[in-house]
Amino acid sequence: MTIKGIKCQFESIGVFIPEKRITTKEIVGKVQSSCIRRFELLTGIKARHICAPGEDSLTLAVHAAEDCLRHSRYLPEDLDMILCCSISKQKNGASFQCEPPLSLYIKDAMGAHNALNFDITNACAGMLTGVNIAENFIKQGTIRSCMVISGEHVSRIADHAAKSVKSLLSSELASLTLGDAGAAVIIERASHKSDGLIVSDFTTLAQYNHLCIGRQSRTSAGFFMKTDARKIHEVSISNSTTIIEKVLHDNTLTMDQIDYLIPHQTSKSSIRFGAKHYANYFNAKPGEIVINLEEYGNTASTTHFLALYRYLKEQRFKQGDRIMLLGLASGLVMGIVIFTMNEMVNQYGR
Amino acid sequence: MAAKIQMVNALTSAPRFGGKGAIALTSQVAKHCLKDTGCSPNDIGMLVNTGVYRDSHIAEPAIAALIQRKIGALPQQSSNSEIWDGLNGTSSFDLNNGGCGLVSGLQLMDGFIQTGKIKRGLLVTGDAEPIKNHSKSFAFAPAAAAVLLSKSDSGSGFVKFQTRTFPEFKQSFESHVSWTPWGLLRRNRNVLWINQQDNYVDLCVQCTLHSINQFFKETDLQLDDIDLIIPSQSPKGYVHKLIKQMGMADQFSQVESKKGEWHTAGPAIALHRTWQDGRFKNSGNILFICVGAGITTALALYRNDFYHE
Repeated sequence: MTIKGIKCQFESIGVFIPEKRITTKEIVGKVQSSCIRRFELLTGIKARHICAPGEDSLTLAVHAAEDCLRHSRYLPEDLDMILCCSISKQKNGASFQCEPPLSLYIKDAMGAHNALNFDITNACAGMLTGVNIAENFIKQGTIRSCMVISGEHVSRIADHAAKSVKSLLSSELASLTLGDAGAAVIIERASHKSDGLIVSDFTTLAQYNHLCIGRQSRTSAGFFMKTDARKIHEVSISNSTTIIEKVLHDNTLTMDQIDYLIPHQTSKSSIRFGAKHYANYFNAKPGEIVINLEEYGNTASTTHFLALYRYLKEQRFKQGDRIMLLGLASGLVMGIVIFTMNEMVNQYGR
Repeated sequence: MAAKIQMVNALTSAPRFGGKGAIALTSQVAKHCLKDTGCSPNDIGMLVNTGVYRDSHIAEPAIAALIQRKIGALPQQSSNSEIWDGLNGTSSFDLNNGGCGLVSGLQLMDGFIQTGKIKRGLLVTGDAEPIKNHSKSFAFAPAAAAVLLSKSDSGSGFVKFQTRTFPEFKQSFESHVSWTPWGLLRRNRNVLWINQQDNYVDLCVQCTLHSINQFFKETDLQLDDIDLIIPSQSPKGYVHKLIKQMGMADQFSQVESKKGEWHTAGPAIALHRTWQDGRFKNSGNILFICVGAGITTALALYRNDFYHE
């Protein structure tokens, strides 16, 4: 059964940032080579927050879910679905959870006993994929609400990289940008047709799937990640223009009608380069391109919702603003969510 | 319109794959599945992988993206399109719900087909030991399966899904990778640990029976109306004990592995068996019964509409 005419909206967003903070200077100090002295300038990352002992993907996700519920009218038992979209699935410290899925532990900790649950993995586009799936379940009429969650304990990958990076061309250089965070968002049926999600979709350009691979290390705890940063940046920018163009066209929008564009947060220079490319291609600019790297770094699948949360807290959004979340992730995944800001603005920062 | 199963394929033993892992097995079976249907890889709007134990515990990209490339679903080669309403592409991701992943994946894909977001979806699953000799109590035999779903033009297709969790039993089966001393020299390694309690099989049966009772309360059907049952093939002894409780041995699709348990691919292997011997196409009401860690049970009712086929 599909219910026609249903629109979905974000009802609330929550995040959790671990207290422990480490500066880029401290990270760079661990690297055996002096080649990356300008890393902070290049990336725009001054610090990132990392898990302390006792914190992991599960605790980050659960705390983010609790924060989300604090800004929501939903009780845990009201939620129909829980999707955990973390890349990292650390539980009990450094153990990577395989079965049962992490979503089961999250829903159990939250008391969301009535929710259907499973885990989704789609690299840094995980939460945007979760939004897409949740929207479809709601439109189908199977559920009315869904919490999409991620807890990313990825800073250990930076520890691995600090030992192996020898030059600016190192395949583990991008790993030094990583920080830990949890994020959660509740998606529900929109009450007004003008509110909510305009589009959520993604595609995978699998011919580029080798450009960023994260796997279990054989010599140290946890994972390491190898990225051809230059190439992945190049193909992401060049391929995303046609995808954005198509999505804007299908929704009778132009780039200058987007008030805020929130790209996946990798580095300041990459985002600025992308922004310049889009401005030339579309001959128009969005109102603002959001960069949220300075204090958090790249927090994998949670970056878009961390940026949204910060801007909500700082009351920068107003109802009716059109926001584009642009996901570029290993795979190569290109995901786009465009939505109109609703009365959620009233639940933050007041 | 519901989604119907267009083709299913399985690889239950793979001697010629030697040391190859889950990705090679799954890619191979996905290619067979498309070939048997005459479906172009570029006609696949969505590719979802529900396997749990993958090569080197790869965390990113999604295993589905690696399989997508291996089967040749590459956008720039596509002559027609689906996602983005005209922009070529397949969207791929992984779904983990342990032994219930197949039914969760079927439900998800059924939804995307029903809302018209995709016309065809390929659900794949496969498990193999992630790093050879770096696991404790890994009892799963290498296996993979692929199920091709498409929009049903008749009344055939999925009718109802139900998933239940019993988190009070979440510790009865747990698997994780942790950095621990390993091997003769006791050097630290990332080791896959699988802990299954002695009563896990009985608990699985108990939870399944509870879910089946609830499932039939929510439908106008009774157990007697079910013509064919496609069950999980793990944990070991589960199907045998379930038949003992439910009866209906003739309705169960039973397949036996001599090399260990078939994990996430297990129900698809049972489905494949009935696909090959004609039982699937000749059955009206088909019930998928899956169980996995959590404990989670996932049921799906599939109906063949003989009148409109």
